[in-house]
Amino acid sequence: MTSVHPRALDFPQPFLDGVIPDEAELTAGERVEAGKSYGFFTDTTLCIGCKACEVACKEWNNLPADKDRMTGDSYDNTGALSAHTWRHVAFIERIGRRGGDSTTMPPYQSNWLMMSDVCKHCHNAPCLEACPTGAIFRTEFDTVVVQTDICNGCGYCVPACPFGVVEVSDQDGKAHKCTLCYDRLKGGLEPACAKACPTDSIQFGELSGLVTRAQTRVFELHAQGQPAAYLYGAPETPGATGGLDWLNCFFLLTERPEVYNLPAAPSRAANRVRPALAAGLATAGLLTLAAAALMRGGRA
Amino acid sequence: MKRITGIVTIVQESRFRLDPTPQRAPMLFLLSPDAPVEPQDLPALAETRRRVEVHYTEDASLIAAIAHDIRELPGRPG
Repeated sequence: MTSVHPRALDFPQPFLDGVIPDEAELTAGERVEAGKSYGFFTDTTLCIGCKACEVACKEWNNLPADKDRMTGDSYDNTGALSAHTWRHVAFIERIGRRGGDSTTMPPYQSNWLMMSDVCKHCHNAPCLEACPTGAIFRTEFDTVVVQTDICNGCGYCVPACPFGVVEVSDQDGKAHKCTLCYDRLKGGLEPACAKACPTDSIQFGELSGLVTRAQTRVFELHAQGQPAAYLYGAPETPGATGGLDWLNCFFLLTERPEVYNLPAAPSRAANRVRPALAAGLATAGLLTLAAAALMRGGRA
Repeated sequence: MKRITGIVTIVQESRFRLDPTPQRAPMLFLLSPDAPVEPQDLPALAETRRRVEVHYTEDASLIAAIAHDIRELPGRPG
């Protein structure tokens, strides 16, 4: 029998006058409160590739769809995250690879790996660090949001993101990315993608609880005969490298990160500033010395 | 440049949906950088429900139009 939150019994009517207060408590078991850290745990072993998350994201955020196109890449005609696509369900076909064929179907997404990719809302967000205008800020829910009215479209955030998430729109000249449904969180609602996910592959919640839930899931999968399952982006796991510390939106994967188009060891762009500056200064110094030596040699 | 009149119904950042005159489907617009209004001006248009005229161009890659100008029309709110 499906468990129902006791508060759900307070709203038996089919049509409501307004938004249910703290609705996320009923849909995600989580009351959204400012000052706490929120994120997503995306369990790729549960993803069925339905793309409900993509649709819910576009619908809620009023994001335009791409005009009809076929990428020729499995069932993935979205292609990648972009300024107008903040959720992307990747289809990674493995039919025929590793000597397997389409008639063998070992458990847990054997012939297709599906993963709903999204902005990771990094703990040390490189896009936020790179933004010169302060348009990218950290919210009271510990998420990272671009304020389009302040963004000047400089695009510094684009190469700073180690995951290739942020993009400047050709149409409006502003940087865009997932806001983790900042407006919904402020209204006590669960983000649209997590609410729409029919298999709970995308789980929304307070970060510490999510990490515990994810670790339990990894142990379960190991016990069920899927030893390859691991977390990517949770504290002290692959993906939480290079000074990022952890990703508020982390994943359970069963293959190497590169297979899912995720970097094996992402890092903050800021880590490279000091060595790059030192190298630049050293080069300038050496060139000055060389020029001085040449001029002295010429006079002699 | 094409023109359409209607009421701004939903606003998200620099994107807005326009409900045109009856018998036409709502249209999604992205605000162009050359538009004389800023994203922060859009919510007021949705709140007042005044009829507006949008000057726009079609976009080659998106199912949305690019709004280059929005002008409030005289008359009572819709």
